[in-house]
Amino acid sequence: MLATGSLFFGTGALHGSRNGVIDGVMTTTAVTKTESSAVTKNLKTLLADSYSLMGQTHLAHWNVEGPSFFQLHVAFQSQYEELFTAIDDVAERLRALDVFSPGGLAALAKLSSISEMESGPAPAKDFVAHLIDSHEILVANAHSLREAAGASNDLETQDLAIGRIRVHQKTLWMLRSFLKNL
Amino acid sequence: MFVANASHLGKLGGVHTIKTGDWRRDAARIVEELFHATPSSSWDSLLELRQLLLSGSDWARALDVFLSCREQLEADHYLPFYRLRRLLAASLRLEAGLCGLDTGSMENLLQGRHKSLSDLKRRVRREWFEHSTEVCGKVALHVVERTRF
Repeated sequence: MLATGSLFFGTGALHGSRNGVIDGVMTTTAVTKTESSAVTKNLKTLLADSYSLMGQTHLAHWNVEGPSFFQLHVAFQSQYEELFTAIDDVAERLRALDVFSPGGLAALAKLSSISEMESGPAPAKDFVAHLIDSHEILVANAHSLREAAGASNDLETQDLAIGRIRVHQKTLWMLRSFLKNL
Repeated sequence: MFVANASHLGKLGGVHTIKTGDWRRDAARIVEELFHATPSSSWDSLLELRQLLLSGSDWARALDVFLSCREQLEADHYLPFYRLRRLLAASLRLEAGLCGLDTGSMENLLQGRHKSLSDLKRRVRREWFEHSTEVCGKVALHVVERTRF
């Protein structure tokens, strides 16, 4: 029982589990440390990228100016509010895998490669272009998570990654459409 | 052949996420992507810009061609020119005089709507030296690559 308990609750070598069915009985086997560490590493990156992107979107919401102000101000709010909810889901997925989540601005900034826009006046299109670049970085990293989760048969994490990729691809389509000169 | 290679960079990940670690190559790739989306009348300028970025032999001319291309093409291709602007702003600087005085944020300078390098230099001279009748117009301005340590 103790051994079983440590499989579920220990924070040592075993971070996740793989479900299987043998003779109609659900069993769990430990995933390798290498496989699960790739998943958790990429999950932490997704968390950090999402947090960073939320901050950049919020900055754009505050500082955008010009004839498109109202539509962009509202659109950016919708985007950062969606990210706020998603960040919670990602962090709680880490917890479900028995991994403590990183948190706080400084810690998450170290884990993300999304750059920060300087505070100050800028053309509205610059805010949109910066967010496009940021979403693309997140999507590229989320693809790594999707692959790592697939390789370790963590279909739940893979599902999370796929869901996030879908949301960000949709946002990218909308942002790119705004930049078209028609 | 670089046009064919550029097409595989794809729309999903975007050019921005595929970095070589060499800002000039990254900038050249962005220019390459413009060929299949721009009229042939702009290709000579784009070819020259690409060559100047890769060779690094004449940054003044590179900046001048960039500003000219941007003037013609940015309205229809905002994202590539935004990325080029960011790369150039981070990698080049405008120095004044023999002592190489940095004339300030290239990012701010490139945000302005300058059609050419001469136009940009006129603005810098106006902002930095307008109160000195002795030096105005006599200070040489050079475009140099930032040294990374």
